[in-house]
Amino acid sequence: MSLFHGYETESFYDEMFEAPGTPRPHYQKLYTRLRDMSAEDFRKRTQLADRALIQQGITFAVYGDEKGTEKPFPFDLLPRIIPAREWEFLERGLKQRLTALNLFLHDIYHDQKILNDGVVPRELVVGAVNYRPQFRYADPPGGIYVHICGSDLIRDVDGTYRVLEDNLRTPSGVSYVLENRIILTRTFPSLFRDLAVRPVDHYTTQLLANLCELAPAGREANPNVVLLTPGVYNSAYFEHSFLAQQLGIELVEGRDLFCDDNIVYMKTTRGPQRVDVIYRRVDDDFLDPLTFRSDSVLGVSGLVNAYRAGNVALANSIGTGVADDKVIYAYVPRIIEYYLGEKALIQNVDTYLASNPQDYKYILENLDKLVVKAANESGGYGMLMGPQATQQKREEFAEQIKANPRNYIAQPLISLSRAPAFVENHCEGRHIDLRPYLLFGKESITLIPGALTRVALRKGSYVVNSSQGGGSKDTWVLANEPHPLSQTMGGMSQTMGEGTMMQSLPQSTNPNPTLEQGGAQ
Amino acid sequence: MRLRVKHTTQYTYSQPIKDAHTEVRLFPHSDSVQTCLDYRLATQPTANLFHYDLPSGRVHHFNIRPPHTSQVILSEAVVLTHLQNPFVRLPLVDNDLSFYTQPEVQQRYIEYLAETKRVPLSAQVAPFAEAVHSQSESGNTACFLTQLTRHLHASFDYVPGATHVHTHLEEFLELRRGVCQDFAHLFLAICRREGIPARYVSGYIYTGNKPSTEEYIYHEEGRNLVGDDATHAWAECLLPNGVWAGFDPTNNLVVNDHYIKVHDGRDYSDVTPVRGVYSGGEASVLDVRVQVTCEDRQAS
Amino acid sequence: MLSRDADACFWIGRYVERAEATARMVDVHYHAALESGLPGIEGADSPMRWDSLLAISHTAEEFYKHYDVYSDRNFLHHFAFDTENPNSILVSWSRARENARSIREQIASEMWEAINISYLQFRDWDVDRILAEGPHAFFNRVKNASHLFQGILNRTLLMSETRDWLDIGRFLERGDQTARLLDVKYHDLLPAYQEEDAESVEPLGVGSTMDMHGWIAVLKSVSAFEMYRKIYRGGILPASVVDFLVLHPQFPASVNHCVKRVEGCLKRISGNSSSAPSTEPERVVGRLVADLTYSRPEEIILEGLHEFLDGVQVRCIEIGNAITRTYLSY
Repeated sequence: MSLFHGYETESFYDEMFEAPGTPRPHYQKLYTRLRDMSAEDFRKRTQLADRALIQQGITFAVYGDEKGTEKPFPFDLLPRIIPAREWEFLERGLKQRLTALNLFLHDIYHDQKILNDGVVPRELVVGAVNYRPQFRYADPPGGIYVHICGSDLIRDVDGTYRVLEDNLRTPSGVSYVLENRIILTRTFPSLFRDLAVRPVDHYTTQLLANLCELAPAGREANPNVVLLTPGVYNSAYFEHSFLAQQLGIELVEGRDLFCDDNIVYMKTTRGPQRVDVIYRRVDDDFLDPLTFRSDSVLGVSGLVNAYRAGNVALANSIGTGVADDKVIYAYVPRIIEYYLGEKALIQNVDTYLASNPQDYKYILENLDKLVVKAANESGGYGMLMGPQATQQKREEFAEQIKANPRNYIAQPLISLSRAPAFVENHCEGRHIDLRPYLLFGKESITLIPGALTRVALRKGSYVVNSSQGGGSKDTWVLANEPHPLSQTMGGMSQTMGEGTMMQSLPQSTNPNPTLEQGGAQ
Repeated sequence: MRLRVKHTTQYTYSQPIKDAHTEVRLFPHSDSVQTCLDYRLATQPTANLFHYDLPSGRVHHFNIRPPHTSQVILSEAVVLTHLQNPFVRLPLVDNDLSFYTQPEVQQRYIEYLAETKRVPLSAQVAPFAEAVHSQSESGNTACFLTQLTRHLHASFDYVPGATHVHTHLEEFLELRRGVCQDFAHLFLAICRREGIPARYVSGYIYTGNKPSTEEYIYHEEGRNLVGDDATHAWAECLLPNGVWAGFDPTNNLVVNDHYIKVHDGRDYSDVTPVRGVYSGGEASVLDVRVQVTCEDRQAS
Repeated sequence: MLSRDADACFWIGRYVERAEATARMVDVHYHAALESGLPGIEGADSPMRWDSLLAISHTAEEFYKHYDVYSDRNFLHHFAFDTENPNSILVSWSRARENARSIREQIASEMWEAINISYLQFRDWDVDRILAEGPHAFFNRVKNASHLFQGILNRTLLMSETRDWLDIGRFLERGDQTARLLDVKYHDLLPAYQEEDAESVEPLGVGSTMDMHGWIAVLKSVSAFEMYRKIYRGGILPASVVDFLVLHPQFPASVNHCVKRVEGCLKRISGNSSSAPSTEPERVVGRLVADLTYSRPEEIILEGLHEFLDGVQVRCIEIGNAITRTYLSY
């Protein structure tokens, strides 16, 4: 029985199928390849992939499990494919958005023009939990606040891409992008050639180059770059360890570092060694007990002042969370227009702010239709899925909203697009999102042509977070548009494949294809 | 006036501590009402000093890495103060309180109108404003603020040691006594509830050159001025004419040339004169000495 | 290398070695007592002289705090599984595991897996199972786990500083354990014949059959019996045992061999190729090595073996402290 036998697209936008049995052009080759594969064969490949994940230690720690059990992040073998034209649009849109958000951060931590001009209400910024007035007037190297950005995108029922939220603090998940790719290239090697899938493995090279660029004056020659982790008990510790290894830099904890006379050092068996750049995966609040929470044991006393003085660089910078606040999110289209004089290319999801009296009323009256989110929570916590929630849950949220309107926003429930996922012995549609990663360097912004596609593995679920039963898929960005003929002439795919392969060679041999595509807008 | 401030802060620890990092906010402002002529900061054990500047003032910082059992911070400043008659800056326009209802004003100064941990805008403070409003119908801001200063001074007792740096405002309201920090926070809470942007100021007050004998220096109204044995605190409010004027409810005074402003912020947490962290976990004993002298009078 | 990572390696080395040493000691002691035909294994007052093991592991206080009955069952639980005993096998192993977890990216993944899998296996045991399947089955498993870890390390880990720190921990612990074992056992065995015949106190002689049995157990505890036989033809003499366990440069558990290995690692780390020490740890280790190299067993016994071994243990602590101060504090 075919993998796609009985596959229904229902009323959702399906990434793979225009209609049951009719794949979209960019999925044609994959479809042809998988159509005749037996479920048993596919299951075997899935098991091999799972085993590879466990062997490579791609796991996340289960909190509160005394035995130290670690589970692999569920992984669905069917890739999500994004055609070149769509990606080109996303690239322009995401770069535009990050450029504007960085200008916004620089502005609110300096002259606050956008607030003085009344474009964004001042109280939303200065009242945001992640606004860091202590860091106002400081100048991060190159004026860059967000070096690594991982915004979450979704597609609605028409297939329109929209940004769901921005992650500008310490976005995680990129290790899955890199690992998923390694596994899929082993599982479907020939498809990569045939489809001209763009490579992602230059991510760490680009990231390291960008981090080195941030080194303080006089330290550029051979900067000491480290990755600062909260430690082994952090749920993302695997990623920290993985990235440190891939970047070839030390993985340090706060207790490995100290500041002396405004310089940061790490404690080594050969004495103190100066640290120039810190890729930090520790939140602002815990970064420096002198400046932020004095009870933090994860940070380094004096680090913020050393950073302010330009003696060490941090990525990301301090206080970036104010720009990924869910309330500020509603203003991002206006922020883009204010700084760039352009309309936002990628739309937001319509958002109601409980702090706005009209919206407030609408939200409370329509809780059964809306998704309500607390402004400063992430990972799917502090969220109400109105249509699916119980009456009691809705009432609880109503009370919370009334108590602190500033902290809540509401959005209509978007019917996230679906993609086929392998379930037991066949494929079923599951809702997905998309988290691409951008690297903001001094010269340009790089969008890695690939992304983390998270998939809600529970039937009918919209929640893709790994903490709530989500899994991931590899995301293939195609170098070329599929030939228009392939839409109608599936039988041509063999010849098409040859042609595509010829074109794709320069792509796969060039280690850093995106370096040339950069150019901040 | 030419005022000299000598401010000594000493921390003593029962066991050696190490890797101590300290931030000091003791450098006096230079602005239209005061000029800092000279400033020296020194520490014992000695440390290399660093600083950065913010609109709210200069912050010095340093670290002492080797183990030590005491840390002394000596801060000395010479400041010229110009505000002989503070009342000239207070506009006497009736009903100018309406200035504060403008949305642009509320937006612009939201940081000084918002609640903070130390300045809760609870309903408990409402009666103080009502009491002052009932005394005067003019709707004049300066009048409201001076009367509020007097009202708080009359309603609460200044008792050194009655409260500490972490005392909550509600406790002060209950005790009816406290220190300058409590007076200033209450003043801020009342003003902010009224929509008047108000900020916390740390600084010093000159209460007369102390003679060698134990002689009280009296203000012309016959009151003993307080606040010179440590850093002082008061409030600054934005007036409809754009001036930030200081009000000292602890001493029932409009801030004049006896005052030296050091830092301002949303509340005490923003201006903490000395803030530090260290490893060792030992509790410290703090000893603070402040001496403010006037060099005009000595010279004459 | 980060001091914290070096510290973790040092302690992995120590804890794995400690678990192994404890397993050996308890195993040999238990079986030696059985062979000697002493009755009353489950008796309320076991004559198996567990006291000396408590002394070696410095856990007598913990034991008497937690147990009323002086039974083999309680002793086995104490040494193998008790989480209240900071030196029990399970506690040592789980600490080694915690340290290994924190430096997973520094060591080969097989090394982590070897520690982790063994830990999960040990957790499946308890004292009932030990008594049912025989203590040897369990203690042998612990020894093998330690050897497996060591084997993987030898085969996979770069010849780098990481390896030196693992070795320093291992050899410092091993030397210390040997000194303690001998100290306590000598104390146990010597008075036995002194009491029998106070007139003929002959510290270098052979005691009763019982004592002979005890000395063999000592050698077996550190897997030294067969090697001892190859080298010393004169029978089981205390002086020869002391010579072998303390001074012999080639026996892998002798104190002398262990501290020499520590010295070698330290010099490799500091890059010191001269014979003079370049750091404080090298100085204290070097002095102990010299003492062990130039001492004679008869001298040591005449001047008091206990005093000598006590001094060795104190100096092992000093070495550990000097290493921590110089390299590992973070």
